This record gives sequence, C-alpha cells and structure tokens, in this order.
Amino acid sequence: MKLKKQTLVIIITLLAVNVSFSQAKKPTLMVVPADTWCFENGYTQTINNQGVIKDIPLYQMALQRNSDLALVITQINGLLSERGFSAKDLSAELKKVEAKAAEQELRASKNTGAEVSETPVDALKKTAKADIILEMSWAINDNGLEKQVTFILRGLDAYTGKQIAETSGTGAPDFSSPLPLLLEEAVSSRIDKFLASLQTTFDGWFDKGREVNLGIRVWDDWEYDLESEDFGDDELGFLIENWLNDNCVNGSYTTMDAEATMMNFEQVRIPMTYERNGKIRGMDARTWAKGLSAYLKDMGIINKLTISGLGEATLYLGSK
Amino acid sequence: MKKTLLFIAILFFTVGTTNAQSRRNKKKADTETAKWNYDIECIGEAKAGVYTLKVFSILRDESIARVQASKNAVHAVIFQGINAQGTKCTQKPALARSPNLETEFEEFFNVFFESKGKKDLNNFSKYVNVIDGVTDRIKVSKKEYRIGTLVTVNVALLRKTLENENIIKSLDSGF
Repeated sequence: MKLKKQTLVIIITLLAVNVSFSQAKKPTLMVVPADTWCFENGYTQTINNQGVIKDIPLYQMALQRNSDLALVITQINGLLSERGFSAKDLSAELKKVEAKAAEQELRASKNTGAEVSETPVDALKKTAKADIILEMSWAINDNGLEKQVTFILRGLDAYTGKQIAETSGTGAPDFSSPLPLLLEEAVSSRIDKFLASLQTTFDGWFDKGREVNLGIRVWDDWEYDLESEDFGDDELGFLIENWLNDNCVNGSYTTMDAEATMMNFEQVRIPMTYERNGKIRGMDARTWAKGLSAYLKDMGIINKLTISGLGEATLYLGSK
Repeated sequence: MKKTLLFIAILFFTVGTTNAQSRRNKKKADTETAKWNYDIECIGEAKAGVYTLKVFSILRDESIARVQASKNAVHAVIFQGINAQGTKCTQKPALARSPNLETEFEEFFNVFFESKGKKDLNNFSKYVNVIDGVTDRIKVSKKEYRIGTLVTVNVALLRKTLENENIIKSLDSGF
C-alpha cells in the first residue's frame, strides 16, 4: 500500500513537472522588411498623421514587387519552424488586416460614449500584431564585377520596443552566384547567432520574468483621478504602485509617467506562469493585469482592461 | 593436413593481430581525445545547419587523424563555438549554453566521444563527414604532428540529438 502511494506521488510529481515546463505562453514571431529597406526600394507612402508628415512602409507592395523579399521571409520562417516557432506569415497577416477594413480607430466608453484622453490607436501597429518582430534589411554592394550582400536581422519585442536579438554583417564578395543564392547564404550563415541571442532573451524571461508595459488611463467623465485619496490611505496612483511592487517578479518595474489622468509603467516584470486550480498556466499581460483590475474593483472602481498582444495592457478607470 | 592446420594457425594469428591493432588504435584515439588538443578554422556554411570546418589536430599518429578530427570538430561545435573568419564565415555560437556542460554530463560525453567507428549511430561520427583526411601536415615536435583535416558537421542534426537527450535546451523549451 505504502509502495503504491509512493509510486502515485512520483507519477503526480513527474506530471506536474512536465506540465510546468510546457505552459508558458509562446510569443508569436513575424518577419517584416525594415523601414529603411522599404524606403530605399520605394515601397513607402507619405501620409499626414494629424499634421505630421511621415513615410510608412507598404509591405503589401514590397511583397508583390520584390521576389527576393518573399524568398528571404520564407527561408527565415522555415528556419524558425525547425526550431519550434511557427512564425506568422506577413503576407497572410496583411490579407487579414485588409479583410478587417472597418478597423476601430478610436476607443469609446461603452456606457457613456466618452473618449479617451490619448492618441488614437495607431493603425500601423495593427498590421504587425506579432509579439516579436523580426526586422530585416539587406543592401547589395555591386562594383560591376563582384557582388556583396550586407545583411541585418533584428528581433524587436513589439511591446517594449527593445531589441532582443540581432545579427549583421557583410558576406564574401562573389562574382558568379545569383543574388537569391547570396541572400540565402546570408540568412543561413547568420541565423544561428541570431537564434542564440534570442534564446538568451528567452532564458532571461524565465529567470527574471517577462517584460511588459502597463498603462493606466482615466475616462474624462470620471469624478475621480489618480491623485484622489478616497480609496485608501494614499493617493490612488501610489496604491497602484504598491500593488505592482507586490505582484512583479522581484518587485521590478519602472514608472515612466505618473500624472493625474494617466500612468505608464515600463519594464514591468511579470512571471511566465501562474497556478490556477492546481494547474500551471501561461501568464500574459492581460491575465496579470486582471489582478490589478480586480484589486481596483474591490475598491469600487469600475474599470476596463484592454490588451495589445501578450505584452501590453491598459486599464481605463471610471467605467467599462 | 599439416598444411591446413598451418593455414588455420596463420589465419587466427592474423585476425588476432588485426584485433589487437584496432584495439591499440582505439586506445590511442581515446587517449588523444582526452587532451582535446586542436585548432579550428571555419571555411564556410554551404547550407543552414551544416558547417565546413578545417580541424588542425596535434597528434602522434597520422592514422587516427580522420577520427580525431571528427571528434574535435564536434567538440568545438558543442562546447567552444566557431570563430568568425573574415567575410568568409560568421561567428557560430557554441551549442552549450553553460560553460560547465561537459562536466555536468561527463558520463554522456564519455560514451558519445568513444571511438566506436561509424557502426554506432549514436556516436559523434554520425554528424561528421570527412572531406579530406590530411590537407596539411607539419611536424611540431619530435613525435607530434599538426594535421589538418577538412570536415563538414551537421550541426542541425547534432543539436536535435542533444535536445532530445535533454543535454541542451531547445529554443522553445518552457513555452
């Protein structure tokens, strides 16, 4: 009987260990051409964004007109899938975005119709919805006889904006190989170093927590703000910071902005997993910020939680 | 009758000598292995996951150059990484994430680097293809030679094996 119990305990432990090692949420990756590459090759459009003139990359046009781009993206996607990450295909994602033509431009309060006191959600960011953007560009140095390819591949955490992996360099001069072959070689010879630095980042996430951003906003028709002292022994903003202190890995976060109507937190380190009903589950910014949402609800503050991928959460205080 | 007996005796003697010779070679190779006395030069990467390397092994016996170069190449790929070589070759990071991996899994690597030849599929030789056994040969001391060997290493396959054996972590482990 005792032996049976021991066996059962061992099996349960093994199962728990197995589960705990495979439940963190996998970030989604997507390979896109760098803005500079799009600009140099003429795949951009000049827009007027609230008075600011700027060039935006036209990925669709680039994919349609440049066959080398499709080749490089396909090759990187293939190498990523070999390593257990199925990357989102830029072309397929763009088609999805096109289908959602009536994309919501401004967020409005469900109950009161009040508008948020912040800039509208950038439509461009919606095009690149992946958690990690693999941005690549290349330049060909052609002196008439020999060709040389300079290749840059950067991994960017879409929500923190940080560069988390990179590889770059110029290949050997070649006078006989066609350009697609040189590009293939440029990718294959650099991908190992790139993925090794990506792995270092992932190891850091499991060790010190995943970095996310958190925003707090206040609907303009709410009678209180973040400086109100009606919810506890301190201003609401400080109460929120106390909650962050208790719920971040090693209490690690940075307060970027703290004003009466908005707060921004960056480098917020959240755990990769959490336990619920005895099961280990993957944590993302939404699940984690739900804790803060519940904490505020307990204080009588109705709030709305929105997310942008795995790594950015915003709480709107005052109404849903 | 006598002739037949003599023939059988000679046959046994030859087989015995060959066996002893191959045992000696194996022992020699394993002794050389323990020293890990080599230099590596990256030649290129024909396709993703396959490195072309030139291994310079310091050896007493040229006959074990091929097998020793194979071991050294795999050893470098796992534990040391390969240095960049101008525009010809980019830097290749080591498969090992920890500097103590070799001692942590000493038992596994002792078996892995044992000189069993190509018959054992779990052996190091599965991942190496010797293109040229001896490309260079320089006498470096009274009894030692620096022997260059051109090899390719299937790093993608090697990585998969080490990941499956839980020796190294895969990129998606934990997710």
